[in-house]
Amino acid sequence: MINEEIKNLVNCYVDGMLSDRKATEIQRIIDHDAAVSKYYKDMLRIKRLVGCSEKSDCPMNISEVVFTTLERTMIMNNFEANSSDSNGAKHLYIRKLAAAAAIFLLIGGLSLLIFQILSPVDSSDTLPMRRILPIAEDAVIAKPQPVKITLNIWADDLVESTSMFNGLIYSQMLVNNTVPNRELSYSKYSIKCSRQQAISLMAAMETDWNKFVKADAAVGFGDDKNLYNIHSVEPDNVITILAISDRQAQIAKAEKLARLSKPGISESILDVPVEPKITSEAFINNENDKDDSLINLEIIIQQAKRG
Amino acid sequence: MSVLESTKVFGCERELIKSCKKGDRAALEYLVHHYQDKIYNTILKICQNPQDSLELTQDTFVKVIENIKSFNYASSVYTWIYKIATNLTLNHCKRKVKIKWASLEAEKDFAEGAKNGLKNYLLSDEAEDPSQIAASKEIQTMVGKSLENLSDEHRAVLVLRDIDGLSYDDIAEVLEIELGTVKSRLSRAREALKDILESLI
Repeated sequence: MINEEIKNLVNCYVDGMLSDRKATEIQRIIDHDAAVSKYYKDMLRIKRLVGCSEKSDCPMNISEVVFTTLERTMIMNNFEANSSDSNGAKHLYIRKLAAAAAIFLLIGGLSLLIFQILSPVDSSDTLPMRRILPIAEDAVIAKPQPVKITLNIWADDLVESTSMFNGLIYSQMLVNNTVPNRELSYSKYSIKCSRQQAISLMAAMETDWNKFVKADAAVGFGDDKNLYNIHSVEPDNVITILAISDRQAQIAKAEKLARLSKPGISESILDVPVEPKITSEAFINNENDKDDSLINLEIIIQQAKRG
Repeated sequence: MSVLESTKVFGCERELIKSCKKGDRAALEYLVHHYQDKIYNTILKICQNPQDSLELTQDTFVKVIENIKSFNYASSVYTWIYKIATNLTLNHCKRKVKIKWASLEAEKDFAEGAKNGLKNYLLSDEAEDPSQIAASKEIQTMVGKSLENLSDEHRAVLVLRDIDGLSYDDIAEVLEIELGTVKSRLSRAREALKDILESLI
């Protein structure tokens, strides 16, 4: 077995590619080693055999073909350089861009259409077109506390007055709004009704008001801590307060009536201009007043002291 | 312009390349004419197909002329041309599907005289004159078929060395491999060819 290095050196020796010193060394190995000697002879024979193989000349002068090919290539290159290919490429690029833009537009249009078909009506109405309101306008407005009016009525005949008042409750259709509490010395009615109903009730009471000995009113507003006591109150006073829709004006009116009702004080002393009287009919016929806030009306009819 | 006239005009190789670089048609024609037979023979021995070899030779010179301006004298012109030719041929061989041993088996029916002649040459201790053996058409065919059954790399290195006589350095340059690889590949190529020939006889 000859190692690869010796084989390579023998082949180099066969090809005459070794230096004189190495060639002498290999010649000595060939002379003394039969296997290497045989390998050397085999390689030499193969080299000579391949080297003696028939030489084949090119069957034709290819220069004409070569130049024809080159000229054709040059013509093709010039044609490609001068042809509208570059313009065509630019045109193609623009067309691709336009096609991409058209596809995007189409997708956008379809998406909008699908959104309009599938989305809930309210969301489509409000979401895209939502008006941005100022904070004060957009904020939740606190509903004003209901007005509470407590009427303390003293009557000579408690039974008759109570009966009369029961009839009013029925006639004004306030049975479901009223919680009655009858005691021996008084009858108490807690009525929760609309402003309109309260005014109608007060107007109905006006007819028989002279049957009462005395009546006081305590007017309170949930958001105003004060309680306005009106002495010797008349139904007109209560109707006037109830008829005012503006809360501040309502409070001002109650305060004024409370002051005026104090003993020894008259309207002329305060030098206040006389206001036009608000009637219950005028209020009831006023369709523009849409205030639907509830009124807590507490009516206490009690037996007046005899003598 | 005849070859003789061209040689007189262009003198040395460097002058020839200089003229070729300027696009001198006569110089380019001379270059093609001067190398076409050697290149054709090398390509034919590697790819073993005359028609393909002719086309590859033409392609080689088209490429040579196209790239002559980039030639920088780092190697000799013929090494550079061999490099282009060998690369084109080996790429061509890789693309072609070849049936190696089948074709050799089919050709095993060589004349007894040729077989005996080759046997005597390969096995006798006395070194015979190979030109007498090679003179036989039959033996030429046997050697050709045996070369065909070598791998492309082994065949290329054997052709470049034993037929074209390129130095080891030039072979390394042409095949773009290390000098050590040239030596080992050449040893293995010769051993492989010997084994193939022995299997024939």
